[in-house]
Amino acid sequence: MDFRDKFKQLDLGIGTSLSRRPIFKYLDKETGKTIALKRIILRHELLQALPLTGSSNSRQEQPIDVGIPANTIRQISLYRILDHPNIASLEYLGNDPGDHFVRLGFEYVGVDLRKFQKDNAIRSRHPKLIKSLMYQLLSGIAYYHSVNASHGNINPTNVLISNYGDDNNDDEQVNLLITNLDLCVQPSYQAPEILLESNRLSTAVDMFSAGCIFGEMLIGKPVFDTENELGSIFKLLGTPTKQTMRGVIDLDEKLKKYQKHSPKDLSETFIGVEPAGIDLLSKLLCLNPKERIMASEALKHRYFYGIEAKKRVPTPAAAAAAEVGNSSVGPFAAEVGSSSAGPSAAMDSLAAGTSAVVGSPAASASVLVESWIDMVSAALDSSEN
Amino acid sequence: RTNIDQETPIDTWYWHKDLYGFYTRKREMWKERALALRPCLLEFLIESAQLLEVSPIVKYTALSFFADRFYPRFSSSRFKEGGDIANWLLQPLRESNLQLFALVSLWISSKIHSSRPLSINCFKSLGDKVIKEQHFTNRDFLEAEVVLMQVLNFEIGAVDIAFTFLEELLHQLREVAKIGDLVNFEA
Repeated sequence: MDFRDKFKQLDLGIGTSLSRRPIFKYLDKETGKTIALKRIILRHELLQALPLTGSSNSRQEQPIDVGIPANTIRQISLYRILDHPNIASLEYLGNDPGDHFVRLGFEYVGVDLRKFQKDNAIRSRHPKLIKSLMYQLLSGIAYYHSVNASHGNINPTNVLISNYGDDNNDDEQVNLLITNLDLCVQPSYQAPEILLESNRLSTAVDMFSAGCIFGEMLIGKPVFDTENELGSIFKLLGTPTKQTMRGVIDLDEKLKKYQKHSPKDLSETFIGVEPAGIDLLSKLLCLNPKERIMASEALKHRYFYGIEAKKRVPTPAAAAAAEVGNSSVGPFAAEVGSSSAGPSAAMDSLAAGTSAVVGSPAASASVLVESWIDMVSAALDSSEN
Repeated sequence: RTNIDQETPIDTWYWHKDLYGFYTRKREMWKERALALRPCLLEFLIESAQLLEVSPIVKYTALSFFADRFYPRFSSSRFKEGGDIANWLLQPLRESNLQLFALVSLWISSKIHSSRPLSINCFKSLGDKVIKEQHFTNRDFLEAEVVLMQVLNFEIGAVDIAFTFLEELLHQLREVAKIGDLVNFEA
């Protein structure tokens, strides 16, 4: 169906994209859902002609005739499988007129975090609400990481808050969605290793961004400056030394222009925050990506005690994992798993894969897995004899 | 082990269908024809993957795209003449065209999984060698890629491939039991 037949553009823009186009919300005429569009490039030839943002070096390195850029394919491949209550779902996917771009329509509900904080200055500082939102944010990020992906662009414009209406004072009900639009945002919420142009990036970059958002929720304004991003990071967290950021990057060259700072006590900047919160924040805003807390660990942090039991909704992933666990992993674990790793570990990692299973492949996959297990157990038996 | 040459020629199918009076049902036949070609096309894909020396995950993802997602769509109405994906690459449906799509699905899957995806020239030169009936240019490959994506409706999620489950299980087996070292993927 044609895009214009299906969707109606809404008046209010939600921001400016990186390529300086305004981004609008669209209303799905049939389902009544609101979406926001993101464009990614489909024809590589066009890149040479377009003055897009981004580093020009990487573009020149690529040979012509690559067809659909690998980056585009990976993005589509990822967004197609994402399915989590805290991640905006992909509602529409289609070609731009002229086939130059792919249009991705992400679900857009409520308002973004920045607007939420502006409109509800007092309510948004409520510790209980912050805790609930942080838990949802981290579960979303943990899901991203569990499918071997990283979001890479977590910032307040990509965090949507909904279901917070005036009459609804129950903080547990407020919902958070992570989306991924290329909106301009100041200051950046990027991790120091990105700003230092390290070439060894990991999923830890998302955790630093989550830390920035956490800090912003706590004090009501961005933690770091717009102008001198790295400088302000170092001012709060201390200048990295060979010990604190070992193996990430050759520091001496890049750090010359920054003043030396020693790390500050976070509880002086974030006054009135409970100690567990400060502890989580310091772990999220850890300079060294290798020592930064992981999303799944952060969810188990003591800051979230109490919220956990209520908020933990059984996701389709967990349900599917349980199913697979009962049918096939069970015997597998009993056969082999007398030592360290129990069945729960196997189920956790399976959850990542199973969540993505759509429709029929699920059955075939589990059948295959089962037959493979038979094979392995046969091998085990023969080796014992 | 069947060879591509030993497969039943398409004409046999026409004749067979005519006997039972199905000859006029063009779409049905179209589907039949595609199904008849399926085994040798899958073999073609696997052999190409071996010639290109791609990693197993690339091969199995391509198989999943081609066999599990691309092929079943032949029955969909979007393929009928005048449908929205009535591309010349899919009409008429010949073995060579489908071979092109097999190569393209390998290409897409290598873009997903390899940090340095294979270049179009690898596929072009392989295509020149192994696709005998027809000659495809670089531009045809580029076009086929977009067509394949449209046919798949961009459903190219690559986490639900059975291979990833097996790999994960093998990984865990290696952690818990010594026998895991002896098991190897002859993929």
